[in-house]
Amino acid sequence: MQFFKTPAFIDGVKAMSEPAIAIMAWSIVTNIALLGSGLKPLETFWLNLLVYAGSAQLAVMPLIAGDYPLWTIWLTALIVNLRFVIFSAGIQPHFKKYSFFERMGIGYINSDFAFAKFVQKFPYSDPANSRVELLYFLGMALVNWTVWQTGVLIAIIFGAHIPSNWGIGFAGTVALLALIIPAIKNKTSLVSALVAAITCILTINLPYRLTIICSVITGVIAAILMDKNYKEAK
Amino acid sequence: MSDIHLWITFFGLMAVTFVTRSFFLLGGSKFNIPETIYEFLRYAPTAALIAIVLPEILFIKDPASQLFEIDLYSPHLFGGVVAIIGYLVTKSLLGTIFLGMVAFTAARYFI
Repeated sequence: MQFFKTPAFIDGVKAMSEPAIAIMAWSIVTNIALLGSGLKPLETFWLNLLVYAGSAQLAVMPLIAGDYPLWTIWLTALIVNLRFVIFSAGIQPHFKKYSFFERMGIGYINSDFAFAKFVQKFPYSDPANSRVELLYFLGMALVNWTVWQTGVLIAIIFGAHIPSNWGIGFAGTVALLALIIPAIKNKTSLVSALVAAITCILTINLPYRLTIICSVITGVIAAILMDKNYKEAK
Repeated sequence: MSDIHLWITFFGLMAVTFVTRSFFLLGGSKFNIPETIYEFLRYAPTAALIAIVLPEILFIKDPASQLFEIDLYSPHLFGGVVAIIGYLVTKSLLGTIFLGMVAFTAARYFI
């Protein structure tokens, strides 16, 4: 099966080719931080291959270095990853007909970038279009994965020569801004975004980066309420 | 942390990642997300991205207490605002990254 030659797969690869720079910068910064907190190069390499969850890796690293109990480490990763539970519901209607292992694989390679762009491209699931949706998703997710792992290798090989005060990690933050703005295109999404932002400011100092999941929940509820008001007004 | 202990930690993290990321996918077609809920999940990624970006732009982490404090005179906020304007003008990701990073780097020398 030469799925990587199909137009939908190539479209997905193209969609990720610009964010790739940001993902690379992020991966390098994250992995320099992991190495800096005491993980050996080979351990860093395997951690990324096995776990592939940048924000969770960063959150648990101080706990691993500090010899915290296993359940604290796993619980922290679980909570930092909670937003993906909600994201998995967002892609479920698109991919529910695939086999168990295929679905696990699809979930595993999902990422903030891939999911946000996927939802912008395919807001509704169309069973007749399921294969195109899958190929597009795979194109994005595989580029994301490859770029991330390349960043891991760069961090391991050249990490000592990249000064942390260059601030290259900020490129990742800026890239996310370019993903957020086009998603705010009507009143409902504007209110949802503002509510999420206010929630984030109010909950920023909660442990386990709970602020992310709090903001997701209030942002989605705000969208539901806005839509309801709008429909009642009609 | 011993080697074995570290590997147990890694495999546990792997299991956690698998379960969280494929959570609602695991039920397959036996499980259906109500259309109305699904419709509003489209707003979830933007909300998550905002909660990832905002702490980097609007706040500074106090090294002593490890708490976030609002900081309105940071190169990060300046770079972020320029990046937003950059996106609205250029509509391109690379343009946004370039302008945002230039503003951020310049601000670090002057602030």
